[in-house]
Parts: sequence; structure tokens; C-alpha cells
Amino acid sequence: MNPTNESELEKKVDRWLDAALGHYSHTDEAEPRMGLEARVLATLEADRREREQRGPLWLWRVAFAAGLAALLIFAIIRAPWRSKEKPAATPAIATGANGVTKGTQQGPEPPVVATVTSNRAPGAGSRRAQPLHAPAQIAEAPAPRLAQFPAPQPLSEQERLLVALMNNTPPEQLAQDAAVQDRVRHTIEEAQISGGSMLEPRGK
Amino acid sequence: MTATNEMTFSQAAVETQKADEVELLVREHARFVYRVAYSVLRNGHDAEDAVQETFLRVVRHAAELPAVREQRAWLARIAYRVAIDRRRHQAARPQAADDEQAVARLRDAAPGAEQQLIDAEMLSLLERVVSSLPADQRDVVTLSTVEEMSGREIAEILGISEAGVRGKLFRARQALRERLQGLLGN
Repeated sequence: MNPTNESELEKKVDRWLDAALGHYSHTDEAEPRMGLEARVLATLEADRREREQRGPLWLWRVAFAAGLAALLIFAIIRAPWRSKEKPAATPAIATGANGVTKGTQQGPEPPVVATVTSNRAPGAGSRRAQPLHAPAQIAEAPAPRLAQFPAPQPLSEQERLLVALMNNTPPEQLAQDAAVQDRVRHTIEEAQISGGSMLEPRGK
Repeated sequence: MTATNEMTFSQAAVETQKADEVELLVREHARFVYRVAYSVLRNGHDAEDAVQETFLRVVRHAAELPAVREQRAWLARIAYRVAIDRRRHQAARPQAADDEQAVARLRDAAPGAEQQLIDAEMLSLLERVVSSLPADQRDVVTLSTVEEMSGREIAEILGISEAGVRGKLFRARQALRERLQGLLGN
């Protein structure tokens, strides 16, 4: 482009720019439609009525906050970590650790079940006295609950002898022995009821 | 009459006074507010929505009204902020193809026929070129085209000095000239 043309273009652009900027905010659309003020006032009136119907905003906020607080307190009181404490404190696990079932648990004691360790004092029963978020340290119990579900244990000496007796004696003999034992026990019981004792010396 | 009733009546009186003041503002300045909003948004519907929102904000801050010294500038500032917020939410429009078509139509126009050049195409092209300016320069240009808007008012709305407004306007005009020359010269 030669300098003359460039200068012409610059002038042209300048003229366009001046004219266009002059018209930039004076187009038809740049003027509002008829009745703008009335529409704005109607909107303001509608907004005022809506606010009146809703009531004071602060009242809603306070009510909402109170409801939320009540819900939170209820949720804390009924929290799942509180209900988890109860099964851990049942005697089942405690007795399992002590090997209460003598007949079935003769072998080595299973690993001691780690039970709930709580900071709670034994006498402190009130919930309000405790911190709301006291951490309940619950360890997983590795051993089965032997009190409820006894595992097979090796037989004791007496049990082995009893099994041997059962295997080596004919059933008729066993039935006779049982009947004799039954009669003897019956006689002893009758004697106890009548006031005497078969074990007492007769000469007394 | 109880104290509560007295208070209620006085509150009602204050509310009524505020409502009257706001109504007066609407009647006096709604069109000016519209033009400010339009200069930013370039769309009649959006501008009217911005006017409504501006006056809703005014109602919510009606307590500040007595302390406002220059209500027109105060309103213009609110309208400008509302319009800027709305503009941010508007989706960007594709431009390149439209620009080329507009330039082609402008080239075809007869030389010297300025009135023909300053038509919708020219304004449309100018809008796009203006929208490509940096935000601070663009706002100075658009506000300066609003009728009745003085340099001092623009400075107050934008929170800069009058000299700053003049400087930005000068740079914006230069940038516009260069971009238009680039478009028309290619």
C-alpha cells in the first residue's frame, strides 16, 4: 500500500471512528422502551410485598440456626459410637478371656480379646458428665467367641476312659449297669427324704 | 398509645419516606441508569434487567440514601457494577466470521457516503473491536459514549482520576484506530 492510500485509509478510519463512537450509545436500542419507570416501580413494589410476606429475614435465620443446633445435639446423643460401646462391655467377651467353659476349653487359652478401653470411671454413669466426643478405643477381637461357639478341644483323661468304656462294653451290659445305678440312686434319695442316711452308722 | 405502637408508626413513616425517595430516584434517573447499563451490556433486554436490579439494590441500601451527595454518580456506579457482573456471566460470542463479513460490506460502501458507513454493520464491528480492548480501556470508552456523562463522573464510577480517564481514553482510541486499520487494510 502506498503512502497516499495509507493516509487516506487513516483519515477514513478516523472519520468512521468519530462517527461510530458518536452513535455508539445513541442507537434505537440504546433508549429504553416506553414505561421503563413504571416497570421498575412495579418490580420494587412486588419485591416489597414479597419481603413483607416472608417476614423479617433475621427471624428465619434464627429459627433455622436453632433447628440446626437441635438436630446436631440429637445426632450427637444418638451417635453410633455410643451404641458401639455396649456390646463390647457384655460379659461374653470378658468370660471368653477367662476361659469359663471348663469342659470345652482345656487347651491353651486363646489370645486375649482386647476389649473396650474407656476413660469412664466405673461409678460415673451420667452421660452429661462425660465429654461428648470422648474417643472410644475399640480394638478388633481376633479370637472367636468361644463361650457361644466352642471350638473342638482334645479329650480329657476322664472323657477318654468313658469313651473306652462305651466302646468295650456291650449295650445290654451298659443298660443293666445304668438300671442298677438308677436303683441305687433312687434308694439313696428315698432314704434322704425319710430323714435317715444310708451312710450313717446303724448303731447310733 | 403504647410505646410499641409509636415505634411501629414511626418505622412505617420512615419506610414510606424511603419509598418516596426511591420512587423519585426512579422517575428522575431510570433512563440514565439504563444508558449506563446499555453502554456496558450492548443489549436492551439485559440493560433493562440491569436497571431493575440496580434499583432493587438501591432499595436494600436505602438507609445510605441521606448520606449520598451525588445521587446520579452513586446510581451510575451501582448500575455499572451490576452491568459488569451481568457481562461476566454472558457467554462469549464467536466473532471472527462476523468481523470479516462486516468488513467486506463496509468496503463495498460508496466512498464519501458516511451516512451509509455508519450503519448497523459499522456499529456492530465497532462493538466487537471495543469488546476486544483491555477491560479498563473498554469501560472508559463505553462510559464516555453515554450522553451527559462527564469525565469527572466516569472517574468517580471507575475509582480513578480524571487525568487517568483521559489517558485511558486516548490509548483506547489509538488501539481502536489501529485495529480498524488492520481490519480494513488487509
